[in-house]
Amino acid sequence: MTVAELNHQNSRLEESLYLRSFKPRLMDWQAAKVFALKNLRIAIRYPANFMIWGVLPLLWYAPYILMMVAIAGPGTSQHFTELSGFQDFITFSIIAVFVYQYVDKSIWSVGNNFRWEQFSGTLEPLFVTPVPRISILVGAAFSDTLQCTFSACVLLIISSLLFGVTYAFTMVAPIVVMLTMMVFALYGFSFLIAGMILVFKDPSVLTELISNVTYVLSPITYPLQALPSAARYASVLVPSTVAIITIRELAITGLFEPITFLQAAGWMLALIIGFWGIGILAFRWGENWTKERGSMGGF
Amino acid sequence: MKQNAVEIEDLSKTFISIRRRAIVVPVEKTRVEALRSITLDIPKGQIYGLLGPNGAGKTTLIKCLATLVLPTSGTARVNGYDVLKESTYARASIGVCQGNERSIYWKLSARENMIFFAKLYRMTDSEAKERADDLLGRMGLLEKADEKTENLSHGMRMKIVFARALLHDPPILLLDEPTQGLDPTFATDLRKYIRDELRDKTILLTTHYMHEADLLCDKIALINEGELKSFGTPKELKEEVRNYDSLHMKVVGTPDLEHIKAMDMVLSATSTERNGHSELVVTAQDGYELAYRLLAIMHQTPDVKVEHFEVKEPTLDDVFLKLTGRRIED
Repeated sequence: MTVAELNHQNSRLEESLYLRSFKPRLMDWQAAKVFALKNLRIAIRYPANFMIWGVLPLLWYAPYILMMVAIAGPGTSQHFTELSGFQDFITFSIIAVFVYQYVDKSIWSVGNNFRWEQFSGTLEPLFVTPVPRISILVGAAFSDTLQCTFSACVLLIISSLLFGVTYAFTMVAPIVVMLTMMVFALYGFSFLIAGMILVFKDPSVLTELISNVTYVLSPITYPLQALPSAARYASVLVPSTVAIITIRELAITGLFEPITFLQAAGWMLALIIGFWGIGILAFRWGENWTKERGSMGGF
Repeated sequence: MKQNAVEIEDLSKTFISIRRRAIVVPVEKTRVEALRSITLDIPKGQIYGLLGPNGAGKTTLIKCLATLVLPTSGTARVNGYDVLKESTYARASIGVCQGNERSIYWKLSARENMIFFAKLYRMTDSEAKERADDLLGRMGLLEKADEKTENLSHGMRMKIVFARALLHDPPILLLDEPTQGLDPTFATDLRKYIRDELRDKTILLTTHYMHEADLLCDKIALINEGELKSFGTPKELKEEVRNYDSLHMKVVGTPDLEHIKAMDMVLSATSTERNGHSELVVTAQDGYELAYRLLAIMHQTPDVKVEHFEVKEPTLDDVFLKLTGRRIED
């Protein structure tokens, strides 16, 4: 029993029902759920967002298809096939763009949420509740992952209608497992960014930098072999690289190789632990930094 | 048995801001002492006022107790819990109302806002709804409960912010200028609620409205430039200037304040200029004698004409003026 718990037990001040039953938690899942639902409810009240979520990824992707067609002709080239081992460039890249929706959203989500709460003036009221910070961070991340699932599915549906791409739906289960692990690893990354945002306030430059570096290192519109060798080593440290390669293989070939999958899952688990450790420490540092300067609600 | 709901000992907070050249090179370090060795005990069940002008340190003190700002030195305990070492328990023991209507979600309704925060305090769906409706009802907002907050008036939003602080029925309330910017009707409603309905709570109330502090508070601490100047009941504080009168004079033109301050019987003098008029407040042991002498001086001063004067009973503002040389509303 900690000193605080002992103190709480011995407290003789008149206390409310809430205080009598209060116990601090490391993680409050109810709070995370409530926070995520609140964010979703607010998001729905900006209806234009839904249109943008679905259409925007296609607009980002279009220049790559056009460039590929202009350089190599429609669909594929011999060099691309030799380098990647896949036949069709569009099928190859759309599944990666689908996965990258989660990467992009996970990097931006938590930090932007905190920024939004700062601007709204609601960050301080949240921080005076006895809810563990991690629950608020996870709640913010959940709501963005759900929104992202919506936009990524719209992207997949529109792409299959426009380009006729098809994937092995029998591989949905391992794809969901890998996608979930990647998203969890990136949550740790976004906690780090949320901590930085508490300190530096303006997230745009910092997040843009990280987002672009991740984008370059993730083999989305090119195979990993296309990266310079040093960058190829660095890319293994980015969760999206492992996820994109594994999911692409599963979705296009429809073949499940347990050993390869377990190796990828093991590496992803290591990344989750690493990123969460760094992320939570960085967030705590950021929170203390702002408390020392009294700039929690400032922007 | 613990006697004090809030115990503050030798609490200081210094903010350091660094001006940098080319983003990284520090060129100037500014230290602002927001709180200087504050020591204050608030017995449970009392309404304690923290009265002082803007920038006096009131909000910083509230934020230290609310665990939003880390003190530089000293200790603070709320409900027996150290705000640094037992911050989660401390947060569970307090309800905080900051005078900021933006601190609720404008895209959510009043009820949705209340239920959201109630659930953060681990209430079930039905408990949260019941508690939200109960408090909104007490605030006279039940009819507007499903209206988006963005469509409500400033006063109504502030009532929601206030009601939110009561959601988990905390024994201690930190109210930071809860009536700031409210129209008189809403402000009166809120004050009445604090006075009549929250008698069992320990309340630390910051305000720069003297009449609010006078009306609501069992005890008042006067704070200026981060320092506690005096504390006691409103009556005790006024005793400090019991032997003094306060002369309020409305003058056309600008009187020579330094000359007035230099008069042997004058204890303090301030002047506020508005639209070519000066409002002069001067304290002295004998207000009537002072008025007689000042009128004579004014009469001889060109371009200055006395329009109105009045000798008043001392107020908390006069106490503050005597202790700090400035007015609370400065």
